[in-house]
Amino acid sequence: MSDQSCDSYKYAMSRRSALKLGALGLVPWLMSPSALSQVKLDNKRPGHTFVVLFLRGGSDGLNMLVPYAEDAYYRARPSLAIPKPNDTKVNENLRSVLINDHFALHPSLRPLKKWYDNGTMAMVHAVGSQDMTRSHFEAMSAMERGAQTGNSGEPSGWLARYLNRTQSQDDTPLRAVAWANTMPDSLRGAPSPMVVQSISDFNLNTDKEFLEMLKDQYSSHGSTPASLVHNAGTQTLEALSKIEKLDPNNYKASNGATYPTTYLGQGFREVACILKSDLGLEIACLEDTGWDSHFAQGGTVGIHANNLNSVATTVDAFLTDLGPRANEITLIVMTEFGRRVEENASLGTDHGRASVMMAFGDVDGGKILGDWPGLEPHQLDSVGDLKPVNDYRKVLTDFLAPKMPEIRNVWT
Amino acid sequence: MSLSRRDAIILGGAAALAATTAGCGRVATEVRRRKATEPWREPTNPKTTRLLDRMTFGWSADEEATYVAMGHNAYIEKQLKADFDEPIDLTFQLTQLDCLRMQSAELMDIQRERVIQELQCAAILRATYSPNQLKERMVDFWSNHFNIYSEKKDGAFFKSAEEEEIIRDHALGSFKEMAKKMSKSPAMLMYLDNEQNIKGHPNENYARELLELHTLGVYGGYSQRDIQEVARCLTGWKVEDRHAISQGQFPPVAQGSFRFDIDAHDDGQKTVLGHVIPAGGGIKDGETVLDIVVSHPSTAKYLAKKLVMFFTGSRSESLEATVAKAYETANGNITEMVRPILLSEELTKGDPIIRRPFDFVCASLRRAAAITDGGPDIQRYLRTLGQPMYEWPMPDGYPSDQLSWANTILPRWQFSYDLAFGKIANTTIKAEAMPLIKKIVGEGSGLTKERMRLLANHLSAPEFQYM
Repeated sequence: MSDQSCDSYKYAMSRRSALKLGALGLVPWLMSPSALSQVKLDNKRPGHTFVVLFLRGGSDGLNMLVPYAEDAYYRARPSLAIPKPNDTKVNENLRSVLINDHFALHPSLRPLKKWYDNGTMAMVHAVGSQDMTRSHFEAMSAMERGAQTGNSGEPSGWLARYLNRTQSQDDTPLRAVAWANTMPDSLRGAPSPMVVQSISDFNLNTDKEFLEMLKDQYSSHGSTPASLVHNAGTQTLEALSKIEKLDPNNYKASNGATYPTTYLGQGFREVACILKSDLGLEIACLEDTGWDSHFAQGGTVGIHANNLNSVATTVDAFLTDLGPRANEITLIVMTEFGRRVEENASLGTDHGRASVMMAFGDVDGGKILGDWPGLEPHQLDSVGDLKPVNDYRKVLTDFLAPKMPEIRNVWT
Repeated sequence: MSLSRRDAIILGGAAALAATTAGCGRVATEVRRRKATEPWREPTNPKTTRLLDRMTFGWSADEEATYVAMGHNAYIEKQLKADFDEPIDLTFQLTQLDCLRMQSAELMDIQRERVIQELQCAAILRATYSPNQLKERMVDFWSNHFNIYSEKKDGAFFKSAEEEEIIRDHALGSFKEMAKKMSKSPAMLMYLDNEQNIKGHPNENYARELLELHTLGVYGGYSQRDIQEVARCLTGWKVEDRHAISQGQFPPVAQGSFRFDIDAHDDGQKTVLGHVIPAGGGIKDGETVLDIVVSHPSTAKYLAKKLVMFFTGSRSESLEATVAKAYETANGNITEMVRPILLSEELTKGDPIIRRPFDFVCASLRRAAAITDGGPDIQRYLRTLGQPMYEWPMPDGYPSDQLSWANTILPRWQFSYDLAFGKIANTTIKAEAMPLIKKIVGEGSGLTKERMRLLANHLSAPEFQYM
């Protein structure tokens, strides 16, 4: 860590501690798991919704939050580096966007700058797990199970364990929803999470008689206790009727927000739709693929730039649409690992260890949080990767614990 | 698409010609000629139903008739020997699948998506229609035990060779042989990154899964140091990627087969689970590792636990001990391990087992005596249900616990309805089946809406999601 940038980090770290203390001091009941279930939360409105977007493939954090003050960055990436914010040799919209005296945003992330400036967005660099394999599967497996490495910890997901620990009678069938093809590992083992490709696909194309029959079959289980399938069935039927009333296809965004017509954009549009309908959504999991940029990653333009732009415009639309309710959510954008500092021979980057985590909503925003290990050769790990000095579990805990205190107890 | 010599040997001229133009669409026309076999009846004896649900891919009228005619013990013995004749129409359908006829390197000429469709097609058809049902269940078991992800690297092209030549050949044979062949399976070596496992730069991925998932089990008594040493032993175990001409050996081996690369092998001394493996062993290092791990008592215990759980849905210390003992006395023979489970009380008395989507789809087809081409139209449902075959990314195989699957109930309802009401293209239920299932669908003949409804109700019921 360079001396110059030291102070801002110390400041940020102490602010973060203050925030934690504040949470302890002001709303002590939130910190007590046993108290949580006694507090009668509004049946429909959970008060806080956690939205997580997982960028699968390993997004290049060094080109997301550019350490423009370090020469090592430019030496390692002759073709892929993002120009400095004050680099007059290139067109202004190709330069990085100034954040502080050390970091700048990728120009594709420009739509997020206003959220950073108004305190709705925070970022942490050099975030990763202790998994050393540099395997997507292992690193994702570690992060989604809340484990140290891909080969340690529990088989269930970190969010599943959170949901299990905080179950209450007021839970709705839309408590945890994943927009994905298969259940993300983070929800594996959760009490009846829903997995949809789109909320509008969550319908039964049958007939009224069949639906009535299902209601009978799944609510009656005689003298024997209801099976998991019985419970999932009744919850699914309940969710079906709620979503039917929701009419997600005709949802109108507020405040002039326009969602991109991408899969990702539509996913966030549906999250907003459910969120605003007060159906008890506590956790929403979304994912995006195509971040494994070994080949032709590009710098200010190209594959990675396009991906970042898609995320930035989507998140911008989501926060705009939510308006003041953006304070009732925490949105985290995370990825399993970052990329090698040095670009490879095919204008891309290979698997590294650490990347950037972005947080939005009621967070300690307008700051770059966490430690920064630096990019000089002696500061890298033995393979030449940015060191994951900020353990992803600690970062997630810091962002989420004020609203989700039980999160402290899910890590393994 | 070109025909290989292997094709010409397997098929006669005319059939080979037909095969070059055949796809799943072609299979679809053939399948319509398949006679509706013994149709669907309501299970009469719950214990028999459960026994057959667990030994097979689900009770069917045919299966129960065979079971009753042969008697309990004789039926089990014949299933253990996988000694039933395969029906000619199933065999015919399968011979049209390129993935079963061509070698891995040749398959690469075909679209990847098509290869995956064919693999899934073969799995559905065999599980539903083969009379050697126990073998098919064991194939499903081992295919998950030695799971690979067909979407990773070139897995799709290599999976069928692994499935046909290793898993199917040994599903009820010797586990030790299966594990040894698996260690040289290109699909597995590729999936678990052993191609990157080279002298000086070991990749522990395969070594770890070999110990943790394939043999000893996670608490089987090995250390991180053992994993590193196993990885060293397996350096240079890779997939042949050179043309025959440039191999410099005679006879040359086919591209895409196993290759031991002595130049990439770490030839120093190693110690694995207390056994010293002397320097200079070459390919013997890895072979010795396989000998050590398949003979390890933890392997017997781990497999016993998994098999008992697979068939009975519960832990049973005494049954697990019996099965583990069978592994040791019968030198890893799988039939000897499975027999005591099939003959045990626990088989029908254990906790209900949730049908995984693949089990559910095949069991529905069998129960309804449905006719399917196993093609993309029915595969679409497996995907929505969450279990497209060979597409579980992690090496542990599709989960088998209730929690993982209970939430996928909505697509199960849709499948039940669509199957019963004839809404799945290239999958049908014949009207002739109806009179024989009168306990469910009422007296009379013909495929009426009311009977379709009763069938849909039966398949979508909570009870049918369990076995």
